[in-house]
Amino acid sequence: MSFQPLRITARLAGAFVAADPWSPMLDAVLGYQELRERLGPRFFEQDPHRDGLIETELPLERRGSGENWYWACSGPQYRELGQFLRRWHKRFDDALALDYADAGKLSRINNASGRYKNWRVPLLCRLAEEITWHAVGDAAEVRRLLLGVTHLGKKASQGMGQVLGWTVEPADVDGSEALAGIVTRPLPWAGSEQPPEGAYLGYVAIRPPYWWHPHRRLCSLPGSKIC
Amino acid sequence: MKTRCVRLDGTIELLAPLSHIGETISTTAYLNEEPVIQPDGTVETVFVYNGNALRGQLRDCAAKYLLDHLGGIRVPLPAFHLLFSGGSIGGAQVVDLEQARAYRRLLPAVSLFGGGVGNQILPGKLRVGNSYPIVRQTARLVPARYWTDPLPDYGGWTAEKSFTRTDDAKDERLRDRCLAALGEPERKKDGPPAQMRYTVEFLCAGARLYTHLVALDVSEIELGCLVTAFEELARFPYLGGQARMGHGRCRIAYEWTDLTAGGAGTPFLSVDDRADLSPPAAEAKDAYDRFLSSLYQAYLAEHETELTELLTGTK
Repeated sequence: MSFQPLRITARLAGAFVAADPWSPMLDAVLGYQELRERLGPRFFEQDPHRDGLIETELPLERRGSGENWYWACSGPQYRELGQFLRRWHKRFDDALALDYADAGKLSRINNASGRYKNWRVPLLCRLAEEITWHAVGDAAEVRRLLLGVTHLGKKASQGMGQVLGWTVEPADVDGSEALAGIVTRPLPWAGSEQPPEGAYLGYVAIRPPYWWHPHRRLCSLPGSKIC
Repeated sequence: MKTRCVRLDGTIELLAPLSHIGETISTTAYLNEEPVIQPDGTVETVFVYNGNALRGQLRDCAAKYLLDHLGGIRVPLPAFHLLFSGGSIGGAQVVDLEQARAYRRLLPAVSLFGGGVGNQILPGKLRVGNSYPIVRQTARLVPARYWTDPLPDYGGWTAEKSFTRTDDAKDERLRDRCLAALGEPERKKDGPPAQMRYTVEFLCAGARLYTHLVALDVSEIELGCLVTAFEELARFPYLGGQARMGHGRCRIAYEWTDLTAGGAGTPFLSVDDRADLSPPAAEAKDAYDRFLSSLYQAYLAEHETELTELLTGTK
């Protein structure tokens, strides 16, 4: 594999769902694809808590040292055209239960709380035309993995974050960690806990899976000045 | 097990007005509309039929087909909730790999739509897209092969319709049939109103919507399960609310693209008053039917099968 600075762009159909402005991280998306390919049908049966974490092998450059390594890939950069709330619903199908459920000794079902509770859940949707990431990696392999990525962010099962197309192109500069002096991804922080002016620190994960607690480090956060 | 990724693209043609409520203000229910990006970067608001709504309907249809073809069995509430609503997570902090595999192997509907079992989430393989009207405002989202020439404007595609619910107890002609008139106690003043006028906003009949879904790494049997969901939908081809008044009747047609093998889209199935299946769709359905048949035979032969244990919650 030959690594070079890349600019990767996803053209979106509509809104995507992300709870914070640093999601979706592209190395996590690539990792999902790599594991799907490697594990085949077993992919959907895996549970890291039970089976242990499977490290991904991505066509991106590894940076950092020791346990503080991470992939050379920035967080998402996009121009947000707006936000809106969408609500999804989950309800106990009482009409169908008359024909298909055996309630045993239960004479009534509580759908206000408990396991059969009905849900109306808000989603924060972000409207953007496209999302761009900067990375250092192998363009051909990144392009191949991204071919199978049809959605980004949460609630892909409901059609959110639909991707219309991908562009992977060489970039003039390496923006995987910082661009114009501003941090573009969480970077492990080795300095004092008192950040200098313009730097923002926080405990976040540095590599996928980003929800995996052992990956959290004190980091210089995206948006900080390089110090 | 051979699996593949399949993409279905198609259209929903409304044969009756469609109600899909976004918000209700007073006695008026408004259509679900969301902002979409225009080619020039501006934003306009149009109707969207949420992917989760179609997904929920397909999940119900797949579950009905499954249970009807297992001899019309009635399942305990947890299994019913899993099949029809996706279940819920809770209970002991135990992750049982064998149980998860058993669910995937024996219940392709759960494998396809996903669900919560015990303390585990079984991720689904289906991604049901939002459906948008094929209009000028959604040209960026809808593949050009579904466009009409010229593309219509969204303005004027919606209409409001008012309905009256009459309190027949106040109808003098029916008064002698009403117990209240014969001395029964009057209804409480703070009880629900028996007479009202309400308004619903609809997407007009004749509208065409673009619909698509993606099935990731599905086996032939799981694809067949999806086909049966559409076949079940064809028995009552209505989307959205107010179906009791005939609203939401539709005609659906899908093309399919095998993303694993590549190639262009070819007709897959259509849903009208009946389902028309292309040869690949029919083959997938046959594979699923054979699977269900063998499952049913096993169920009849031995009531303590793995399936029974799973469905009755004893496993």
